[in-house]
Amino acid sequence: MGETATGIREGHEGDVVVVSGHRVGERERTGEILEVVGSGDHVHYRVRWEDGRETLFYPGSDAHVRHAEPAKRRS
Amino acid sequence: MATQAPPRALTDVLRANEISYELIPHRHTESAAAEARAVGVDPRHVAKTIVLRTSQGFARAVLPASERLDLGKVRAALGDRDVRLASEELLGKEYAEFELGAVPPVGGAHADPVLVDRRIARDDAIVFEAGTHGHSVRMKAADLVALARARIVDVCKP
Repeated sequence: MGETATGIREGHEGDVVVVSGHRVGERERTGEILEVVGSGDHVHYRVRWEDGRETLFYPGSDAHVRHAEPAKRRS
Repeated sequence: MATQAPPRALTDVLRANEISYELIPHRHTESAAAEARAVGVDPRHVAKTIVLRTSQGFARAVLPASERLDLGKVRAALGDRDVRLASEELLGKEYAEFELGAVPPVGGAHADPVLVDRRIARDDAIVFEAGTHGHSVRMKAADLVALARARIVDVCKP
């Protein structure tokens, strides 16, 4: 669909963060990366979630990045 | 808005365990109910952490901001009749990594037993003070229970 999944440390503005659910029936959460903060192991993101909230997100092992098509990227 | 960063005593343990979390800065608040208002979350889904003095050392009880701790239930859950609230003096000394009244459920020098109230444990996500009165952490309740090796019990007054 023009999107690829990749490591959580490799997100860019415009990509989508995906956090998987732990429990049966729990939906995955997604949010758009608005800003990449830090780098390497310390990378985190300012994310706008589906419900409109914006928070600083520090990704763990249950998260990955879904890359947007290059044309949709902000950078 | 908050200016002081959350203590690494909390964030390092989350990072070391590869746990996803959100950091939510907010205006300075002095109670979990006020914190809930500041972050726009129902108090039933915001947790307060109460540090307890036990005969073995310390324990932490995590319950909804909207509820009150039942010490009798805590004593029964821990099998310890000598459980009482930790004094501010003791908190300042033993939990110096955190602002007074903002001890999070995990992190710090003490690997305390943690009791998570069942009302909080059944939520998908949990919000709690990040060791300061100006930041909250939002993370999966299941991650907190696993990380703290917490027991899920009822610690609230009826």
